[in-house]
Amino acid sequence: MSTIPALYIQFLAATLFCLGLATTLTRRNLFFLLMGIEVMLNAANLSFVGFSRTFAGAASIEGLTIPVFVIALAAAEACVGLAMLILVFRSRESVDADAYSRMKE
Amino acid sequence: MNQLQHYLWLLPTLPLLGAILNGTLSLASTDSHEGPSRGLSGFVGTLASGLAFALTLVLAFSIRNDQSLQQVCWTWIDAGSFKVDFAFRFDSLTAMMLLFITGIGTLIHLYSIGYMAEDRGFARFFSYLNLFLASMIVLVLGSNMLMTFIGWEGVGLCSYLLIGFWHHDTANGDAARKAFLVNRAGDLGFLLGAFALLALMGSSASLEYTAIAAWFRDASHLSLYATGTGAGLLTAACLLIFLGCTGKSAQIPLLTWLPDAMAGPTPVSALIHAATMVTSGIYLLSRMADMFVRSPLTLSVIAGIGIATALWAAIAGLFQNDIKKVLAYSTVSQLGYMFVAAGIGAFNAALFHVFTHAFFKAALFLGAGSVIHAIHGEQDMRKMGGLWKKLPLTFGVMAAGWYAILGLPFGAGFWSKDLILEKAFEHSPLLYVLGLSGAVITALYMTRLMVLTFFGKSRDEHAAAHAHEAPASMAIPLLVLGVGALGVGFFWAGMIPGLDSFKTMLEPVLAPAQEYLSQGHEEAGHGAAMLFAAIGTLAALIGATGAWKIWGKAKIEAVGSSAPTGFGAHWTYLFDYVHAVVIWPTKAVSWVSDKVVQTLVFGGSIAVIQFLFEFVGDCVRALQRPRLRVNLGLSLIGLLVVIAYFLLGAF
Repeated sequence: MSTIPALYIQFLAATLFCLGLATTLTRRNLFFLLMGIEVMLNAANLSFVGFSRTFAGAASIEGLTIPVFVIALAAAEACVGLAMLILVFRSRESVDADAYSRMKE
Repeated sequence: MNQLQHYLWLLPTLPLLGAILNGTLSLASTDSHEGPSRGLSGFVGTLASGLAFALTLVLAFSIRNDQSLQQVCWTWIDAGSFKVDFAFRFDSLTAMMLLFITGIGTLIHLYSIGYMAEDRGFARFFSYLNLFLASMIVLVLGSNMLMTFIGWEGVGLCSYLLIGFWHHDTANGDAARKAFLVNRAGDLGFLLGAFALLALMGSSASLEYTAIAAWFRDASHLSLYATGTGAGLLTAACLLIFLGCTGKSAQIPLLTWLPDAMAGPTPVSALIHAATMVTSGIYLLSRMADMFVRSPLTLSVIAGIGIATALWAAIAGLFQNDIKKVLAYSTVSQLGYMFVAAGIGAFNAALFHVFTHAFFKAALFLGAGSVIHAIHGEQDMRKMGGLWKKLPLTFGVMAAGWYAILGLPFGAGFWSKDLILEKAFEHSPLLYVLGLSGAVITALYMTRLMVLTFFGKSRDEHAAAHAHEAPASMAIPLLVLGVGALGVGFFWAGMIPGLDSFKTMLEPVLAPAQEYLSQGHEEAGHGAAMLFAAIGTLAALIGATGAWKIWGKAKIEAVGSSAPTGFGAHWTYLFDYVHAVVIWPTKAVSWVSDKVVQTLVFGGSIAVIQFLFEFVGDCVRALQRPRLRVNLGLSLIGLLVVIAYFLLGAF
């Protein structure tokens, strides 16, 4: 069974992260912001899994365990984020992130 | 005896209490028309002064001349090796000064009860007068230069308050401010001189008079101030402290305030501007004699300035029509003689003249005050004349003062002024000739004053008709001072055995300095003393006869104000012109400091700094706009910077 080189996995993770970041920074739609954050979290997960193959012993186990926590965290974040988004949308009638710049008013 | 030093603090405190009490009375009665009880105010003020005099008498007679009392109230400054105590010191020099300060002070308090009786500000006046006495006592009782400086500033303040006592007239306020500001120029000299002295003394720096005297008497310190920087520092210290003395004692160049100070009530002129405060310059010179004798240049300057002031002021006295102005210039002139004596190292003669002058000049001023009081505030001598019949007592007292200041036989000035002239001759015949011509002019202007005021025909019938002799509270001080003017010279004269205590009294304080100066040249014979006295008397007689011839029969018209005109005005205001010349560049420098340094340099740099901060602030504020994605991007950049810092820092 041919193995994928560890570096490739990390490159893939970095690319995914940058794509997620770019989405978050450039898109004004709040749904795309949340999606960008999800992509970045999963990029980090991929990086952890990739390193779990590179390192041996306890570090290897940790690399496989942390993504489980991150997935749980991402689920919670998506849950709370979407709930807040719906509430804010009710008051602003908009999903444009820039429309929320006067939240304290 | 051993307990007495614990009571020194009472000397300034008694008049201070009087000042506080009278000040409270004055403040409490601002709403009433009459003001507080004159009896109470006058009693409190005079009692406070009288008690201080009584205490001085007790102290003065219970110590021997070579003893001193020292009371350290508390340590004031304690900075490493430099230490200043809040301390009083009572030795024979202080005793001599305090005796006439509190003695004449008490008499003038008593006199003021009568003189100021009609004045609404009676309690305020006594409060100021008591405060002055307290400051003056601190000045001569202080055991170090800083204590003296407290008194020095205190008397300056009281002088200011009392010159401007009748502050409803703007001119009086101007005179008060002038006195204060001119004195400030001198005070700066005092302080800088003290700093120069501290720099010279180095590790053993102290402001205690005893320590300073001991330091200079120690021959091993000679090398420190013989040459180079040390010599410069010594000269600077002496000249600067002398500048302080010229301010307080109205000598060239800081003398213009004293004639203007006559704007104050006459008892003030007698007490502050004739008898006590203006002599504090001589006191300081004598107190620091051990330093001054080691700077021959300064001594020459002092003697030169003294004789120039004596002559200039005597001539200015000839041109005055205001009776108090004549006496003011006379005071400046007599102070000049004292500085001559100090400048030739005869500190004891200078102090003796301080002592006799206090009596006869106070008598003259109080007599003038009595005349002014009698003819309802008129001070122009051209409107007087023929008053001796109306005011026999005042005439008698002023005649005694006149007799004393002229130096006629056995009056007070006969002993003190001729002593100074004799010492001047031993020092330099030129100084003697100049001093003697000053004596002739003194006789001229004083006889002119007497002739214009008391003799001839009355030139203002209305005023003369209502003239009245002084009340008892004014008459008693007049009499005492009149007798003093004739008699106090005997404290030196040696004609009455046991009374010539003045000769030896100051020896323990002054002898080391005077002996240092007289080393190397022989004392001149004293057999000639009577010859000098005869020449002095002759000079006085020439002046008096001359004045009688000139003004005895002269027709005098009172036109316009009493200020001198023509050449007399130019001569009188000579040093006002000099001040104007000095003030002009000062103002120019102030203008440059204000417009260029303050506005351009400081203002400009502040504006630039302000602009920079505003610019940076604006930039940063633009980044902090509430845009979610911008904020997110900036956080990311910040994160990258932090990561980059740690990563790069690791390498």
